[in-house]
Amino acid sequence: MKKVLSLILALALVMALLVGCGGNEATTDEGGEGGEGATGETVKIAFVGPLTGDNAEIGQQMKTAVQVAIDEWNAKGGVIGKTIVMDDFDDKNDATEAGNIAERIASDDSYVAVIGHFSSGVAMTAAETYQEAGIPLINGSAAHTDYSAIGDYIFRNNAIYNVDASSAIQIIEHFGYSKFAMIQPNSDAGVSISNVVHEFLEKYDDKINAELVAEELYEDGTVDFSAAINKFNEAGAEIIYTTAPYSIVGPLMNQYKAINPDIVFVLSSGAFSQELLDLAGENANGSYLPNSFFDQSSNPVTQAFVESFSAAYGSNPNTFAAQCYDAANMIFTAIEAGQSDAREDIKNNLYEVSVDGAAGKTQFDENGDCPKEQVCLQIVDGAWTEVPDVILPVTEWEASLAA
Amino acid sequence: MIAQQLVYGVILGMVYALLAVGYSLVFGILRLLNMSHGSVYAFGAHMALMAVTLTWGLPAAFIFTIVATGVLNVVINNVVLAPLRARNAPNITLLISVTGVSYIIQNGLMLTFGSTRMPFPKIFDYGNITIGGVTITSTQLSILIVTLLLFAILFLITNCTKMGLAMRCSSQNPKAANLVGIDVRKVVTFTFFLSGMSAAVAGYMIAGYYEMVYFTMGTAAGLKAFAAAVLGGIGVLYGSVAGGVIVGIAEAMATTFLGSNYAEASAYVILFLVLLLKPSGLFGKDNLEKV
Repeated sequence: MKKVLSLILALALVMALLVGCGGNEATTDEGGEGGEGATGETVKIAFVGPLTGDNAEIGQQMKTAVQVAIDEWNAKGGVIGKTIVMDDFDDKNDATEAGNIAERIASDDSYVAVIGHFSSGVAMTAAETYQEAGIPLINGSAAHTDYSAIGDYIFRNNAIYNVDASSAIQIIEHFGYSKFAMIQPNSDAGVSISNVVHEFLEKYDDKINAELVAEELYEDGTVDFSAAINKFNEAGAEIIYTTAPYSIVGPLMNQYKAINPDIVFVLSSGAFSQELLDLAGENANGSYLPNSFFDQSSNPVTQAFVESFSAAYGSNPNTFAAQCYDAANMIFTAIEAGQSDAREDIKNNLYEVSVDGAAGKTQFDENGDCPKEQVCLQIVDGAWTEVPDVILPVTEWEASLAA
Repeated sequence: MIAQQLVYGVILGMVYALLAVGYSLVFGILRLLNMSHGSVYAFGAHMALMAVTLTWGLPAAFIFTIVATGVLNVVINNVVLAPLRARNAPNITLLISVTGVSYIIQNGLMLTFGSTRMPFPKIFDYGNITIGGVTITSTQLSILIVTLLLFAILFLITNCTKMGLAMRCSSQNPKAANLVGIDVRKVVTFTFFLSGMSAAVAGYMIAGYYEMVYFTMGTAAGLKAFAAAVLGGIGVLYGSVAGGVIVGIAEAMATTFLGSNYAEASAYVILFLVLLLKPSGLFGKDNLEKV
């Protein structure tokens, strides 16, 4: 009997927790409605991202960033006189989950736009549904070249692969390394980026001095890289290019530096975080990272965002958080510009407006892509610092090679 | 290069073996696939992180981790599994219950410690040792030694103590063991404590080896370790070591000759082949009840 009672109590506790979580959402909504200048009407957007699971950290950051943007607009009286509210959904960065959530959002007329989905493959699955339903989606993290081609309702505020790949090659060339190796995730994204690197190397064979001596694809969730590191070492690699997130780069650096202390890394935006510096410590020093966002930039918009974000979240934002913040501002600016929160009007106006964002100027081209300019960051004594004049925009770089 | 890769494979195998033994211990007694073991291991690693952050010193931190994790495993047994067994619930019910427990632990860790990967101080950092062109770091060496030590201790407990004898009896026939005066419930509780203890050692060592702790660390590692335990013959202790080492070497060799993206698959292909030829695993006993 006692055991039955304890079980019931345990269940009650769990239920209380669940109810508590649901309640949280409701209170934020009510808090928003209390904002000044609100007419009682609301504009509802949906946020989708990995809020639990391996990529929970990234999803939580993106969600917080969107919330920061919403709070700022609501404090100014909302958009076209209406209070902005957000519902969040957890797709666990899983294509099946994302597909189901997209169906739910698309079938609910109260949502005017969607922000989120993390990786390209997942975002592309969901994007098909949004395009069919005619609801605008802005993603702040997908890099796959085909993503924005899904339709006119599909936008992206992130650097696409050729920008990342060209920046990485420019860094390797600029600092005079002759032998480099690549380790990329064995996913649509990882395979695409290594293809782009190969294309550049073939196309400008006589202009690029660096030689690709070895490459590997790793499975998501891998923590032991000793065998791959040994292969790279045998091939004589001096610098390693990887687009892996910080959770992979951290252990990779620790394991590599234990074997070869002279190795240098070129990373990508997924690794731009304080957590990487914590995980890899001294081993992170000397690494390069081309990025469109730098949290210590002197840009006042960036400074303001970083301040309100870290107040809300407890640590500084990563690139995707900044890009989601800009994405949210794009949507609200588009609503304001067209004085309409109809889905189609938002879509049309998104092509017209621009925002001076936390991650640079944000404006969509005719494909729904945002041309990103990158700066070269380097980790020096456990802190990110900017190295100026290393990276040219991809078109200028290609022009200089073709000349 | 091959020799170096073999050594890395063996070390990786030891990491899997550390975890695999926990599956084997419980399976040996209860014929139960304890799917919560991966999460219990993650719990152990988080306890270790807490103890290390509070700077209790290595011995105190180690003992705290082992006791806390052992107690958690005993609680799982007494609160979730014992009532089900008392009602003669079918094995599948127990299996689903422990899977549920695994999620509760994992999400509990996320709520308490957060979802980031947290750094864990490196254990035994005394530089690298090179013998005949093969380099091994002191951390890798310590993993090797601790795993073998843990197995020696477990072997002594199961083979040279009265409790070990009782464990082996209960494993062969719980009813008969009860009749001759063995308190099978106590034996099961002890086994769960032992399995939790091995998870704690694994948590401490693996967190120190890879220098990080995160709440989902038990998912992928647990699955691979489970494969290693089945490969070696689940329920047989040295089978876990053999299974772990085979999986580790298979992954290292696949990386060398085929590429990292084949590493994961190679472990399961070998598992599949072994089970085709010998369904009870390399060292497994054939008269096991099918689950």
